[in-house]
Amino acid sequence: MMRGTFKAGFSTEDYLEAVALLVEKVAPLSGCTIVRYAVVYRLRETDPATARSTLSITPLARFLFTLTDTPDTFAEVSTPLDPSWVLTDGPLAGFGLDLANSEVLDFTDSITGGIWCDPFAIDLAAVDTAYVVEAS
Amino acid sequence: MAFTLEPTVKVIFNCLDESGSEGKVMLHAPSSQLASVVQTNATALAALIQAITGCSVRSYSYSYEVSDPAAAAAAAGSRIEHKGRFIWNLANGLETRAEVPGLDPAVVLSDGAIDLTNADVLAFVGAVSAGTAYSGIDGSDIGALKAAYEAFRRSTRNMLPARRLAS
Repeated sequence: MMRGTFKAGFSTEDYLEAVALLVEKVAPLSGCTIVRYAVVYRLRETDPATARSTLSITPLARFLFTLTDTPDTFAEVSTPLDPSWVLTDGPLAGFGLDLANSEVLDFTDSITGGIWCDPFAIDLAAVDTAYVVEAS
Repeated sequence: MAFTLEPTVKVIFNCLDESGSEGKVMLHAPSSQLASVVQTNATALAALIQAITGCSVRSYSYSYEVSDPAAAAAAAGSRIEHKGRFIWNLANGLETRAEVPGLDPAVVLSDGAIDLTNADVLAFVGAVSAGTAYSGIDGSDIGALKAAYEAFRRSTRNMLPARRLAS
């Protein structure tokens, strides 16, 4: 892998064009094949909040969203799990997540109402289900 | 080379729990969206992720990726451990470096220095030095090339050949 840094203030198109030009210059110097490059923007919180006490990054909460073009296929988004979302009664008790929780609703509405999509640029339609995943 | 922009921007949020463990949340947005739009949406979502997880969202990144679905085969004998190290002076007196993996042995002189009269080397160095967009990690302007030489990195397990026996 090869990394470089850009000055701020240019458009994404400018950055991609500059990298494409550099790729043409690097290729003759290397026996490797250049298969991928990316322009990455990084942002850091300068005033981070403190993590909630007793919280562990595992297990995870997995949200499944239907896609707008094929409602029988799904995209998944996993986040750290807040145990208070886990349903405590009904058939999904201890496994399903409470999609009616106002904070969870804010999150899922923001996903479906925003610019977010699946890896193939298909819009996310609605949250279908959400459940606990025991991450390794 | 037939590089194509991937259909989506990959957005990754880095979450930290109370124990110091890190987790990630990954989402996608269409790559037709401007960086400013992605950033606005991601910043808003970071606050929501923090609200529902209790984790501290320390940083996030979003990347526009370009790939070549029909990339040519790598040259026989090429190894990414063999690098060309280029070091430039920065306007603020510091340095920045770039390392080209799988350096072509033909551009290396007998003493290990990279041949700065080679046309391909000159084209690469010129593209970095003369470009207005590139900078050091702190945003400082890139100046003249200070050094260029071959360097080797220790092989990782994945870099070792599949067949290691003598027979």
